[in-house]
Amino acid sequence: MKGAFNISNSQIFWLLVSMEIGMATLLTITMAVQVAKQDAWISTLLGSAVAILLTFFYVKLAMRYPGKTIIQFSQDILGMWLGKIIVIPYFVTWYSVFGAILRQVVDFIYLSLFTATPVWIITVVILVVVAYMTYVGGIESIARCAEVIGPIIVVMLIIIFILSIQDLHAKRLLPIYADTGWWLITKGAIPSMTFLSESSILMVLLAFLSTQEKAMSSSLWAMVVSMVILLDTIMMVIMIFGTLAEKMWYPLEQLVRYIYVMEFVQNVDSIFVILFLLSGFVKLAMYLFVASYSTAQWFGFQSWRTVMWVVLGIGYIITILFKNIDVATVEYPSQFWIPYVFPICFIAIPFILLLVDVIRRGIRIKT
Amino acid sequence: MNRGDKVMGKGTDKGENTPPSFEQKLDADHFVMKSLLEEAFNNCSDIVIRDIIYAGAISVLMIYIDGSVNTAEIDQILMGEIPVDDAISQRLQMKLTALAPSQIVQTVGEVVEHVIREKMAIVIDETSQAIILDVMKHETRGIEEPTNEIAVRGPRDGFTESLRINTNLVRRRLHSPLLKMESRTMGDVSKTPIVISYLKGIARESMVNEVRDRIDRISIDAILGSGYIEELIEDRSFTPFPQIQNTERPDVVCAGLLEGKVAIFTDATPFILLLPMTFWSGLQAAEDYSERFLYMTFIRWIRFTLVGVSLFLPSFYVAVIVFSPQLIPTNLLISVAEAREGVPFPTLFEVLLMEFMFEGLREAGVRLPKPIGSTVSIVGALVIGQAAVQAGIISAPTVIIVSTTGIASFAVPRYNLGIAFRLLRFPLLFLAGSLGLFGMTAGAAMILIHLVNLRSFGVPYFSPMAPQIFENLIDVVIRPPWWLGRKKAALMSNVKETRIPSQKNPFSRRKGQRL
Repeated sequence: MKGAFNISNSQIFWLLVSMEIGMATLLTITMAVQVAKQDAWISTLLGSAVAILLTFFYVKLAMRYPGKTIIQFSQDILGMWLGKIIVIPYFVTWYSVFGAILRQVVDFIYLSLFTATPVWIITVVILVVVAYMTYVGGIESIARCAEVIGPIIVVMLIIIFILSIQDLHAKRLLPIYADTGWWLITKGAIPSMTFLSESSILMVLLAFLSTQEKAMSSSLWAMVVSMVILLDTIMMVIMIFGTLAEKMWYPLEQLVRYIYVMEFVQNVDSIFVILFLLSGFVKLAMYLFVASYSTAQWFGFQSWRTVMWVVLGIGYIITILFKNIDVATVEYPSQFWIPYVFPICFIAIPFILLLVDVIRRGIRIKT
Repeated sequence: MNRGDKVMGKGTDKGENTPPSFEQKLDADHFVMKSLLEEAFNNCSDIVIRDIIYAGAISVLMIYIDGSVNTAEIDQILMGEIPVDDAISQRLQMKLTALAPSQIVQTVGEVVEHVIREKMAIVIDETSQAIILDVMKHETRGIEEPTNEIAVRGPRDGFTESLRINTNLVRRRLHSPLLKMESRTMGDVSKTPIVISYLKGIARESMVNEVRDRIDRISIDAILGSGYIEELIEDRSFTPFPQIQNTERPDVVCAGLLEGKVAIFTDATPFILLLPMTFWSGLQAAEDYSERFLYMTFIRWIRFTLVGVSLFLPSFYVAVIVFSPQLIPTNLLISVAEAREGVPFPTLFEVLLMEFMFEGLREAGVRLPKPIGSTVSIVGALVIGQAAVQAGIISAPTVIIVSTTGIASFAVPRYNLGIAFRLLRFPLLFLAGSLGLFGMTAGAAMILIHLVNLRSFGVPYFSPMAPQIFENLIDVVIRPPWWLGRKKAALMSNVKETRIPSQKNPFSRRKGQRL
């Protein structure tokens, strides 16, 4: 299975950007504004900065074992059994997040485009696209799609921003700091920090990189671009809706709906849904691939494509298990992602691995 | 292939038209020789076996296909007076071989083989060998302007049905010994000559090898057009997208060769295959590089837009009308609704009907004899354009949408790529009709996934967009001016340099500037 795929630095960049932007711009804004009010943009800046810092460590760790995924290098660092056990939380994360994102995407599509169509049809159509993208060429196929979809998303977002400039009211950002204080601002940073830290997936993806040198710069640039776009989105949302945004499911969609130019461009939120859907395809396919590829590696199976069907089935079941939109979009992030996934998978395990590896190599040099 | 085997097999079974075995040596005896050959070409009325007594002394047999060789000069030699002595047959042989490229063969089989390939065989009595003369004379069409690829500015010559003329047209443009022309023969029955052409040192050796391999693997009874070869050597058949480009223009072939592509000439067809092909090269026309670059960049963008239109417009229309009418500005919506009032069909069916009619008209227009062609267009315009709308069967916006799509699909410079878009329109229409914009997006994503995973002779079909190769991407997004020093496609050619050395570009101030 080794060396089966080759992806380039620009593909890493676009993979990260198209994965981060979609979910973060859609879901973190409401949560941030609920806590930090009009200072949510400061929180986002803070949260993104932490996420970028974490990304730096993820890449550092992955680059110590070029060509190996976290499933492989955790065994190199901690030995076979401990190494296998320590990555189990990642499987829980990836399997569940695949189902959760699928449900979030389906809910979003259903709420914005449909009324009478059965939900399972939407789910199945999305699953077919995602399965095809993953099955036919693995991460290469996903990365190439991201290279086309990523620029489209960024360009369309920029157009959206330009079109809504006329509705901005800068005074809605005021007063800065006075209403909230450092504690609430820090608390508001949690959603963007945890969402953007999904870049931990790099610990798998970087194994497929063909040239290792620029891995750090392309990953960090992708994070910076995502941060800028997220920051811009949240500032625009606040400048248009003020703290009203805390009562909206999808503030960005509302922002797009608000666009009204020359009596001709109006109600373009359906177009925005398409953008988001494209980002969702890439993200789902990436999680599907990472989950099935890592599972195959963990068990020592030869064919990850067979495992993929199992992951798809589990994902679909998880999607159904979510009782309503609230569970997938609010409770899953706030009660599972933030208290468990983030500290365990995004901080503790990577740092344990990095620390042990640094110490072990230090000892090896000395002896 | 089966048909060919049967034809060949039938002959051997009955034993009446058995070609003499390939190894059978030519007989020194004149009459044995003649009867052998007559037996071999039994019932081939177009093959002439002339029995001449040269200078009143030795018998000479001329075997050729009537009408496909030039006999005048040989006749002149054979009619000429010559002193009769012992060395007469040697001298005759020397005279004949001086006339044209020639070779000496020893067996009956070889004689037959060469004669059916339109060469002349001459057997001189008592020599036990035959002289094969290459005095082919074809009735060919003159070099005309290509009918399918027209350029406002650019050369007016197009390929013809003659292999030799076609290779000459290319050689005339690239006077270089690096331009290689490897010849092959394909088809058990047809024995069609083909030529694999490439620029040595610029085309990747691995690619040329791959082409040779795939062509040598072909086993078929007859090759009647380059389309046969295209389908037999392409990477994937189950796709609407052409992975090999075909062209009637020598300048396009030369441009391709210079980029490191490989050309395949097939005898008796004016369409030359050029491979590998990428999606984006399918959107470039021959003329792009002979007009001003600013204008052609603009034209390229128009083309990209039209490609999008030809693929998505009808399904977008259906999706918006059926599922998301809020996207349409109010005034427009009112006029569309007004126009659709009284139309008995659902929008999806209406668009499908019109698309079907359009495709039918197009097909009829192509197939019909020229004098009737204009009738079709008049009837089509009246039936579709006027009558259907006036009768209230079809709404006017639908007609506008379908005809716009039709025009857009013809703006794709490569006809066979345009076909792909026309074909994919239909599944997208169904998706849009059943799931609206969501279905359309899913369909578009499926097409994208298919495209990025397609390969043409190892080159990713969607490159340089995905996988991104920045220095080549410039040539897709704009039509770069020549002095910018366009780089060769990294995945096709093994030459890393730019097409114009950077020191030599006409703007000396820009010295060293590269992409």
